[in-house]
Amino acid sequence: MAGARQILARRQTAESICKVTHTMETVSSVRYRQYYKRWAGGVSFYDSLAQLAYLVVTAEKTIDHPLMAGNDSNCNAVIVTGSNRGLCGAYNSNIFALIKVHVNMAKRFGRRLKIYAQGRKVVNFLKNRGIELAGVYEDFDEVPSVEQAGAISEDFVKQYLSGEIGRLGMVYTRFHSPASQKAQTLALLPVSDLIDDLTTRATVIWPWELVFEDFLLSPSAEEIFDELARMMIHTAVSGCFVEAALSEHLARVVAMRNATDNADEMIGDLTREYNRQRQRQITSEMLDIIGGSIG
Amino acid sequence: MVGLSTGKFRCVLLTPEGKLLDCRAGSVVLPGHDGMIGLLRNHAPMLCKLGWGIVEVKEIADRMDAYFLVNGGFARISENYLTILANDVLTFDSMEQDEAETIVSRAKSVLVGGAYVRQIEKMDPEKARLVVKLGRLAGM
Repeated sequence: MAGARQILARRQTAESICKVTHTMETVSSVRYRQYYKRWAGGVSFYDSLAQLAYLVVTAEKTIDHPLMAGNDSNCNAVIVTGSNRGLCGAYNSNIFALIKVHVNMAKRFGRRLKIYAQGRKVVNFLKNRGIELAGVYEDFDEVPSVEQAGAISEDFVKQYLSGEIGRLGMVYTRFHSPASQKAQTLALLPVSDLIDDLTTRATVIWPWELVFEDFLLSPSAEEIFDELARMMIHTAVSGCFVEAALSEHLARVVAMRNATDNADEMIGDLTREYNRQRQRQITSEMLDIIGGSIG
Repeated sequence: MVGLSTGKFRCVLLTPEGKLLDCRAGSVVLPGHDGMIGLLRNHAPMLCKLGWGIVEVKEIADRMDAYFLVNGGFARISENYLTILANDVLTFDSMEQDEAETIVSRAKSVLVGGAYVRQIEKMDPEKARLVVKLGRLAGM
């Protein structure tokens, strides 16, 4: 049986863990609220973008654009975003499971796979598995700036147009609501898949009374579509990083709250055990004194 | 004809970070990809690509005129409802006075400075010119 001093040491350890987990919970909940505000603020933007995309793709005269049609490249590209730090429950392992699916799918269909990663946990996972990385995003912590997201999306658009890649997906944890987040792959290129996704998740009511042909266009429909497609990819890339960061912090808040609760419970148990042990020690000392005085 | 275009219409400016403006305005000047575009009430439905420039929202109900520096995006007007979508927007409206003045003074230094200053400030001279203009319009 552990002595009173050992129990006390274990209780102090549990108290330190409790302090650390509580602090991590507080830090993550503050960042969660910041990202949530940003995510909620962007909903109307996504809705308007979806309306615009819907308007353009429902035009009577079909718009032919290379970003809309598939190409015959044999290479898939995925951008994977995970976390830099652990202690966030199953957040990273769900992403790893999706990476395995992509690797197996590429093998099964005989396609090349280029993986671009963000987050130390993802990079380490891929290195440990011996999976080659095509690129690592290290110039931002969690969410890229407008310019950085623009540069990332432009790079992939160029690769797609030159036929280097045939499909582009983003593996991240989508934030549906505070009660539901799920790791998934969002297809970014060809852009038809992205339009499907945008219009499906939009919170606006379709269709409008106006159709594409009712609008004066400046410049031509093809040029507008080109710019719109690039803007959608740019917005989707930056939105995915925001959702991933949001989900990560929420996962960490939940994980750390559970850890704090468990540590609290352990402190209670150890305190009880310590008191019992101390009482036992006092009783035994008193019995010794009484035994001595009688003798 | 004049009567048709008097009055106000709804104007909304959206970015991925949030709604920067939602008001009823008398007129709006947009930086189109090929020049400035003026909008009044009862404008025909229009969809246009934006370039670099300043969006000027005037005669707003209950507040001063608003100015935004945008770098690309789209504007869509239909049924007296103007929606501007832009990824990159700069405005001094919601900014502290000191911060806004710092940005304007940096832009001024880029405009008067040589290549060395431009290199440290990392600001395009064209953007700097527009930032200085935005500061002037915002009364700085």
